[in-house]
Amino acid sequence: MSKHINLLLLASENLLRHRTKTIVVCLCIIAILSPFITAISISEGIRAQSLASVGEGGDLYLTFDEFGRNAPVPLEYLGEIRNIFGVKKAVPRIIGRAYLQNKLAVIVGIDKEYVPVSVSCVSGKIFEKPDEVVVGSELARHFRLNIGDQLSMRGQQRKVFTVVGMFSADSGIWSSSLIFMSFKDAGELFGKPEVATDIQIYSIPGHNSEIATDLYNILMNKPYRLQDKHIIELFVKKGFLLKEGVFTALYVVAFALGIPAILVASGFGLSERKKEIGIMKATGWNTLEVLELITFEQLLISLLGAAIALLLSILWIKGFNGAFIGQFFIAETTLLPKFNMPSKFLPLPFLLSFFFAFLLTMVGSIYSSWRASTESPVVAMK
Amino acid sequence: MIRAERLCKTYGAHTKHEIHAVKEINLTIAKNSFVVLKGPSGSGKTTLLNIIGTLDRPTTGNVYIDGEEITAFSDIALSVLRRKKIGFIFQDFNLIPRLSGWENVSYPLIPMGIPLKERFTRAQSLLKIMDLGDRMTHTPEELSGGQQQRVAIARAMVNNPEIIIADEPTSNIDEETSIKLLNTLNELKHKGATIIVATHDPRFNKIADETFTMKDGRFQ
Repeated sequence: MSKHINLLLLASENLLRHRTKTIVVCLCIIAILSPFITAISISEGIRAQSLASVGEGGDLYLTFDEFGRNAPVPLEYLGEIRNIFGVKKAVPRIIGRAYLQNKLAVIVGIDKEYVPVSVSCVSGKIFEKPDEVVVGSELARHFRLNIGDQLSMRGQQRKVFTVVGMFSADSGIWSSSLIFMSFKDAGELFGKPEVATDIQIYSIPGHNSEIATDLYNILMNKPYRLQDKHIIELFVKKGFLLKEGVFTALYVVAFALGIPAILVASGFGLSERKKEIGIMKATGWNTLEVLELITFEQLLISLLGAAIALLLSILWIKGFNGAFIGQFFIAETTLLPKFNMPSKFLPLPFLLSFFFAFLLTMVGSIYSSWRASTESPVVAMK
Repeated sequence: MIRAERLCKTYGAHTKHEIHAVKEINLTIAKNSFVVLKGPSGSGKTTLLNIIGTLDRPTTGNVYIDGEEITAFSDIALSVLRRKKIGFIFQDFNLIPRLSGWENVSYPLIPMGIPLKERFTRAQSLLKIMDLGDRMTHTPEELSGGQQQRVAIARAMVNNPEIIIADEPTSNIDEETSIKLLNTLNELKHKGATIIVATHDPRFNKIADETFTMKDGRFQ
């Protein structure tokens, strides 16, 4: 055991002795890993928020179906739906988009009593009266809105609203460009007071299939679409896996360009190292001990590079809101997002990154070291 | 103790640059003897030393150390043998440039699992013997040729080897240091080590128990 400790300590000393090489290899590892860890963490953060939102939503989602896409559902069925056995509540929503001057905002119309528990205002309150709205942090910052200000929006018709509350910057990406208002106001804004974009049905556990049967009886011959929470969750997960996959694939291509840099950097000072290995062999080191030392060196340098890459990723997300990378995962955001980018740092991507860095540095050094250590010491020392 | 039978070493075999560095050498070196190999440059002294010292393998022939045929040893077994029994002093010192004097001396002890404190103590005592107590933390480039050679001698002695092999040890150092080196090797011999030196230096003849003269890869 003391031999391995000696070799580990010597490896760490060698990293300090060969500072330039250590710094160059570390920089290569950081340049390659940091964007990757950042992207995966953002993706995981957004996915976690999405799943939390889905978790808070209804057990069943009812829409109509037109041309194979979701279409508004008439409110005339709402009373019957609420009377189905097993339905705890049925909440109609309007989710749409409208321009606030030149900026696209997401409009959510929902009755006040059904506002999700997680929705919180950093300042002000939730709307109570007609034409009152709560706005997202990015919109508020962009238009310098304050509580009590008025804003005018055009959907199917122009309406003037009063800002009564503002979301905090850390209340999730969904709220950054959001305008939250009553269901009635949203219906009026879009000129569709008799429909909802969907109805969320909250059910007593175990009653979904019976509710589906009753809905069939109510909506018979109507083109409706019923999805349960698990399907939505599945779509969310699948969507993000796809995005992560596409990002990883694109990244691997860029990555391939960086690999030679690491390989070259790992092999820096090869002739000096070869002679050193020859001396080690001549003074009683065996090949396994030489390779163990080299492995420890690469292990330490990879760990150091990956740890710095992780710290930089945290800084990238927390300090610069995932600039340049967030855009890949959140449509219509800017290169330098003004809201707090959601993130989740999982151990697996970090470990994979570390192992990848380790593998690369090993490839760059282990073969040449093995060659040098299996040659006769006389040849290696030349 | 050391026996070589019909040793041959050929470089670039079956090419037009084929060189027979060592030809059919038979040699026996008794334990605790001081042996000098003489001969002009290119006569095969270094090649023979490298083979006896297990740094190189012969093309044909056998070497026995303490009755064991080391030419059949694996790479790891040879390393173990070098670690336990052999210390080298090279003509061009072969110190590791980035390491300090004491680190170079104690380097062979690292894979033996000897803790840092003990490695330092052993290196320190040897360097003091070599009059380098005040140069322990200097790197090779901060030392003169003679001082580097003494560091290399200390390194060769650090694992208390039974055999010390020195290749032209005085060729890169001054007169005074050469005499000190000669005395050091003589002292090691008196402490029980077997000393094998390849040299042109005639002063070694006076203390050698046996002298072999080489020419064109053979003993004359």
